[in-house]
Amino acid sequence: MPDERLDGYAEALLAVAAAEGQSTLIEDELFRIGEALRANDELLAALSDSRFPIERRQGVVEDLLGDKASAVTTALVSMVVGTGHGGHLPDIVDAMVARGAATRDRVLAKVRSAIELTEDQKTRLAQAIKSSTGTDVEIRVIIDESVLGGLVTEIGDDVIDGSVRHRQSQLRENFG
Amino acid sequence: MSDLTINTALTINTDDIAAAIRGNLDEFTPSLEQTTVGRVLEVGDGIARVSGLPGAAVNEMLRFENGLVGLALNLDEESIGAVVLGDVEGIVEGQAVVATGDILSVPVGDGLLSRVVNPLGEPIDGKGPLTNVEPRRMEIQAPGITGRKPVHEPMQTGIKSIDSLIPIGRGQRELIIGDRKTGKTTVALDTILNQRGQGVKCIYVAIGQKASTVAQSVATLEELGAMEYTVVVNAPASDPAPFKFLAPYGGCAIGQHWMENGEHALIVYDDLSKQAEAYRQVSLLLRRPPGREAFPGDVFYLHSRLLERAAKLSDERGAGSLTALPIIETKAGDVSAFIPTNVISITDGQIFLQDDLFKSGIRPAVDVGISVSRVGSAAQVSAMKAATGTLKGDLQQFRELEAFAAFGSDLDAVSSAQLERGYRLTELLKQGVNSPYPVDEQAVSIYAGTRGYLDKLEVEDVMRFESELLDWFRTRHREVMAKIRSEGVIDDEEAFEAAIAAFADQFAGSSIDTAEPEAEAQGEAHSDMVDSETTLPEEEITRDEI
Amino acid sequence: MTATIRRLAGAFGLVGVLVVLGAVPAAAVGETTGSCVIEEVGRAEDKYGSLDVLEETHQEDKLKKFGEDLEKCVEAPSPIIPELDEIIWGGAAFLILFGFMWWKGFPAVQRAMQARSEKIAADLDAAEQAKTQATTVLADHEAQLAGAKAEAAQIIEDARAQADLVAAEIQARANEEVAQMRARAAADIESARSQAVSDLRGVVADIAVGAAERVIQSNLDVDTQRALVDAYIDEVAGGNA
Repeated sequence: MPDERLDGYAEALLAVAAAEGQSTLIEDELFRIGEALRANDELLAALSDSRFPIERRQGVVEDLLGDKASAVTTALVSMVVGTGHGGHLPDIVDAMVARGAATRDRVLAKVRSAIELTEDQKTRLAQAIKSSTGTDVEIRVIIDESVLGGLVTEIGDDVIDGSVRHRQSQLRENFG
Repeated sequence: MSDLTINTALTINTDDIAAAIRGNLDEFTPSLEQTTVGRVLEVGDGIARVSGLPGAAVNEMLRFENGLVGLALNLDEESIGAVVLGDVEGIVEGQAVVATGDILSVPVGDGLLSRVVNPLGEPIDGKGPLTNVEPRRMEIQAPGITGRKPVHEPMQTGIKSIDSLIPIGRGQRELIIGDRKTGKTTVALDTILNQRGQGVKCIYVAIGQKASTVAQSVATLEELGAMEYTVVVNAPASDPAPFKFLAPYGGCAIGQHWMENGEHALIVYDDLSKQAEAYRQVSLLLRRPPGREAFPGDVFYLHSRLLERAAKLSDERGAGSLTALPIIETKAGDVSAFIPTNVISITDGQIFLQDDLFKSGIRPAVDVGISVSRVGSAAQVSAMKAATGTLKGDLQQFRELEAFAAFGSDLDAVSSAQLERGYRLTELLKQGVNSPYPVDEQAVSIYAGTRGYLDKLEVEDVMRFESELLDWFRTRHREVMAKIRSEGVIDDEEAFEAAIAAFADQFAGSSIDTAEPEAEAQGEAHSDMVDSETTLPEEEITRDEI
Repeated sequence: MTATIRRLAGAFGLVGVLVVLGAVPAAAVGETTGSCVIEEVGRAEDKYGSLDVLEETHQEDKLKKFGEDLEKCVEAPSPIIPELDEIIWGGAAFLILFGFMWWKGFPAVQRAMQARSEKIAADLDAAEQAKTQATTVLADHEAQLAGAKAEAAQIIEDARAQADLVAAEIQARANEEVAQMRARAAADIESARSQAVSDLRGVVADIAVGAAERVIQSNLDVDTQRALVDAYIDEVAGGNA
């Protein structure tokens, strides 16, 4: 899917969220849904599988999100799936979140962690990143048990990996 | 844990392992580092397209998540085209790719001797990890003009027809070209075998060959004690194309290390046609535009930058040398195809091996008429020069006359004498597989041939004459032989020739009439030589020009 | 040679002439049968008158005596000396023959003699030559024999030297080979050892790291997690990234 179309969808989602006046919540929810889909190939495949009628796929979305996410979020996801771009949802969400951060003059920093971070930790992390790289970042946390412990911060193509998983692989390499 | 005993002499102490692990642990300090990662966009046919990684350099090594290494070859605007050095099975789209910041390098050093390694320098002979090696970049620019000096030391191949007529010098690039099954590899392996005790370290780069063939070659080298000073870089036919196209550079880096340490090295690329084909495959998969014979535009540079790295270094740089013997396989003797013409134009001469000569029993099937060495004559030892004399001219005239003789036309006495001599010289230049001749023995046997001591023999007796002559010299004229071997000169040529004559006098040929008129034969031989020199001066001139 | 022949011929000629000359007076002394008879008859007629008278008178004894005298005439007076005419004819014939022989026969004989003598001389020369040749051949043979002996000695010496050499070489080579084999075996053992060590190390490391992972996975409690996160943040803030 070309970048322009991703951007178009992202912009549309962002505009809807802003219009609903719940942009922070909706962005957050969409981001979590995007990452959840990215981590779950099967679900992603099901949402983009053209053998299922679109209504069925939208039904899956509503069943999944109905009581967990806000109505607007569910409707937005359902709309994207309805256009047949369910498979690109994670990319669309990424573009949207990046755009959202950009409107606030910030850069998106995805943080993978095994545990949920406290607000205090997030602020400190954002400050730490600013002091070391000089960029204002917007922290979005992804809960990922596979990092085992510690954090992995991704800012664009740059990765600061301080996870236990990474240390293990370093150790393994060192022995190899 | 008790000691693990593999055999009586081989005991592995648990302490060894513990120490090794502790050593690794001591070095390990987990660090937090900022890395730039790219993502695999698509993968297939040994090629991966990677997005991101704006800082990656050409020939930089990329590391995939599963530990595989890739080589960044195409740096496009949006993505990087990288060849995967290994099996692409474990790489999937979306995987993270890290630029290592290292340019592709191979281990070099004496620890490689008697080993078989893959193009990345990883041992594949099951003899454990390499020791006594250091890394070195695979692609290094060739030494410049000031760093070089003219070729002047001989690189003895041990093959009579080559050392006498197409002499090779240390630091030269001499192409071995011929159809399949004409003995190209044999010539190269014989040359390696002949380096025993000469202080030359050898690298045999096998590209795209059958693993069984390479195993055979390694076994031969091992059996004849040549592996001690040889390293085999093997990229068999079953390896992915990137390995095959990288193998020569890996081998060359190993050789250059020795060259720059003031040592002498010999590298055989067997063969560059297959390397070009592997490079064509990689290039087409990388979607580089195809040119003539579908080779990419830089296929000339592929070989020129490789062969330029063979050199004779100046005294300031240690006077080391790297001699390259690239091999090219032709199809049906067509040397005007793209790759052969390219490589011919880069090298300092070529040894043509002809199929019909091979089939008619002239082995090695060197076509001395069209084989040349552009710089090697400066490196030929004086004893060989003296022995060779008019050999090339004689053989050339013989080839012409042979064509005439085929029509059954009557020849005058001089011509038929030349024809007869030609048959004997051709017989003399035949040589068995894996039996290189030391320079002293070559000098003796070729001297006898060019001075006409074979003329009165039956052609079938030539081989026996030669071997008995060499025995004669080995036992009675050891000091002469030693002198040729050590200093490359014949001290007293008259005495030398007299010694050959003395042997010829007592040599009993298989036919009755050969024994007696031997003494006259010498006289005639001399007059023949004078004839050939006076009647055909043009040949003399052209020969010097070659 | 020719002079001898000529002297010989001269002697023959002289003897021939002397014989002829000697024979002439001899013939002159003797008588022929006819003249003797005429003489006897004349004598008898002088003595007895006519012979017819005697017959008629029958003087038998006188007739008888006359008969005896006649018979005496018939008998040659000399058995050796021929009669003169014979000598003359014989001499003439001899002279003619001698002349003819001198003219024709002598040169032929002389030629034959000369050829013969030449042939003999040539034979003698040939014999001489053959003799010298034989001597040379003998010398040659002796020289060759000596040469062959020397050669044989040389060959034997060479062979011995070569045998020594070959023996030394073989021994050296065998030693070298043994050393090589030993070195190779040692190298093989060493490489097998290092291979085994590296294999083992890999396995042990794998097990160790694997075990560590298991332990970490199950034992990272929330406090540790928090501590890790805080440490990470501090590290990033410290510009360690």
